[in-house]
Amino acid sequence: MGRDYVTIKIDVERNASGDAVAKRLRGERRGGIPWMVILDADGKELVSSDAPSGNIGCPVQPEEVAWFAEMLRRSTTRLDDDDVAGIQAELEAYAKTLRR
Amino acid sequence: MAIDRPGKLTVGAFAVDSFPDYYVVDRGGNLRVADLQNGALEATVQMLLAEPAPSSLPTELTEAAERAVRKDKRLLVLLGGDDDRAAFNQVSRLDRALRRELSNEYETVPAPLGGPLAAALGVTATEATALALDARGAPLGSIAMGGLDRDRLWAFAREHKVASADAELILARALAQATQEKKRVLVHLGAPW
Repeated sequence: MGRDYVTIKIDVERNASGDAVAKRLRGERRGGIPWMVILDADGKELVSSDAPSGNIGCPVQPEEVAWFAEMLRRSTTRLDDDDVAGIQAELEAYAKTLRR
Repeated sequence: MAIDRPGKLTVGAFAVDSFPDYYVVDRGGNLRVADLQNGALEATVQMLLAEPAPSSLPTELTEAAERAVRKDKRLLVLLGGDDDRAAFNQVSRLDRALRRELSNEYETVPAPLGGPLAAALGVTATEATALALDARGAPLGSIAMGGLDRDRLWAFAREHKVASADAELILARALAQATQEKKRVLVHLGAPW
């Protein structure tokens, strides 16, 4: 991921201006948090964690993991299909441990 | 080393080839520099002193410290009896924002006064004490729990919590890095709860 993404975490409650940044990035969209968005270097949104079925939040269920992989496919310039498949497999392995 | 064992075993083991010969050991007990040039001693010592002290985290704090590191929080050790902690909790219970501040910023660890954790932390106070530590166990400050009021607890909590980074700054830096490295920015919006 690090080859193509600068990853940051913003805590809407603990970071100063966190709520303001969240509102600017997310607008009126709802669906709880965590919520993710991938931006280009100009700050333009490329894709978010809002899947057709709603915000995937922390991707745990298979369809949520699949949407996260889709987020990468829609935004990456350096990762190929194998890279994304590898990330998806790792995430899936971790997510399995969280499923009830 | 003024006196070696018979057979100069230590001199042999460290390949001492002149006197004086310098071998610098850090605070963690690790040999860091061997056969140091005499003129480099001061700079070497200063370099090691500038490093953070090695962690000596008591085992009672291990789990809470792991959570504190993961969540970028501090540790709050409440040294005292059940009544003392109940009184402490009563102060925060009266102020929802204060309760949330403590929950967001601190991993709380209860422990008895005079117990092994108090001893490990070097606390000799005989009255109930709240002790703020960083996630590596370094003490930041303490406050007596007896007679504690809301304002003093607010001040204590604010003084010792992790400095809050500005989200605008975090995002601006990430975008600047993305521009420079021709990357994307993945933003994760979360909350303590």
